[in-house]
Amino acid sequence: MVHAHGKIGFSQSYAKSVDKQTFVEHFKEVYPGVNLEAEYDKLVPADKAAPVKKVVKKGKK
Amino acid sequence: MSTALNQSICLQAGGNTGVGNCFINPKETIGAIILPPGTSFSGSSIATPSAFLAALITATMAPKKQRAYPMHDFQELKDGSESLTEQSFGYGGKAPVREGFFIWEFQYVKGGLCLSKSMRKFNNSNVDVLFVDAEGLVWGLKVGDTLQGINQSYIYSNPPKWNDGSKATAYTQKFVFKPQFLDSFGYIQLGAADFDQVQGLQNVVISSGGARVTNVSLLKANLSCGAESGADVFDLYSTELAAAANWIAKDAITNNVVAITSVAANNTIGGWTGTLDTGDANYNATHAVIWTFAAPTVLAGNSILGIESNTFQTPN
Repeated sequence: MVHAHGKIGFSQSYAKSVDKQTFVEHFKEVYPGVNLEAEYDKLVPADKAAPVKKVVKKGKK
Repeated sequence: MSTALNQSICLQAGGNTGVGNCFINPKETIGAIILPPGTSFSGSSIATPSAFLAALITATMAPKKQRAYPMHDFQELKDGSESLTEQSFGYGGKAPVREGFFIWEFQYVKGGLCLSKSMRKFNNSNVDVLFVDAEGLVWGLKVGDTLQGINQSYIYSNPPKWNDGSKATAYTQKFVFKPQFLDSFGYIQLGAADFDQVQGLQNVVISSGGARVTNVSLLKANLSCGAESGADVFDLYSTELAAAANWIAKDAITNNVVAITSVAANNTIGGWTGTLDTGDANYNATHAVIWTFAAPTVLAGNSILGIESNTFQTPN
């Protein structure tokens, strides 16, 4: 039986603890038709990823 | 020359009787707040009337051992307080022996059998009580710089007297306490309607909305005293309760908290779908799971007011 869901309150801490694929796998049967990849992106924005470190070459002015 | 001969020392024990333009004169008592014994309001919580009101509201959501339980809408007082006990002597004289206890019995209508049933759980308990008058005066004892409830010899919720066709069902709540509070009368004046904001919690019964499938539970919730009006919790808070933070799931055997990965409003069952983290070390697919709402203070912080749930165990 497919259930009609209204608002879905995803746990942000769970989303942050797993990658997108695991997130989608976890929910795809419970919430079919929901764009789970987009939901993941809302919970774990890409700009929150660890910043890339700048490499500074020594001896160069 | 002065002498102490035949001079008895009689201190004048009376009090001055002058009165100003503003004096305390409590009006009819319209409510009461039942408190755990020893509860006191002090410091910033009584700095202003609004701070005190906020403290009372917070106290209604505290853990049960510290919780305040307000009663509203008293309709009538039957004052059965004892008169002064006097001794009469053979020569015709009399002397006071002791003052009687206050014995107050209030009748209420609002809340009916549900409230009566809840209040009967307090029968013979050791509790303190603040009373509230019709103009918002919340009164009890002034102990140092604190406001405390008046300790009760006992409180008792009588069995209701049933509606006989001419009178409404009579729900009555009795308070019995010593008169000594008069020497330490303490109060804070709130606005006349402020006490309406100090409401007790309503019980919510969580039940199954369908069979549990591995880590997915289907949950429904109804007010234990109000479902007959059709106002179940889904009607009130379907969206607000669709949040993992407003629920707690525990393993029924280990009692360990299991991480909730989502809670969704489920329009099909008029309840919620809850999912658990199968990767959580506390999750065990063969164990039953206990679901409950988060604490009332957590719910209130998320705009869900005045409810507390029981625990519901899904089968494994």
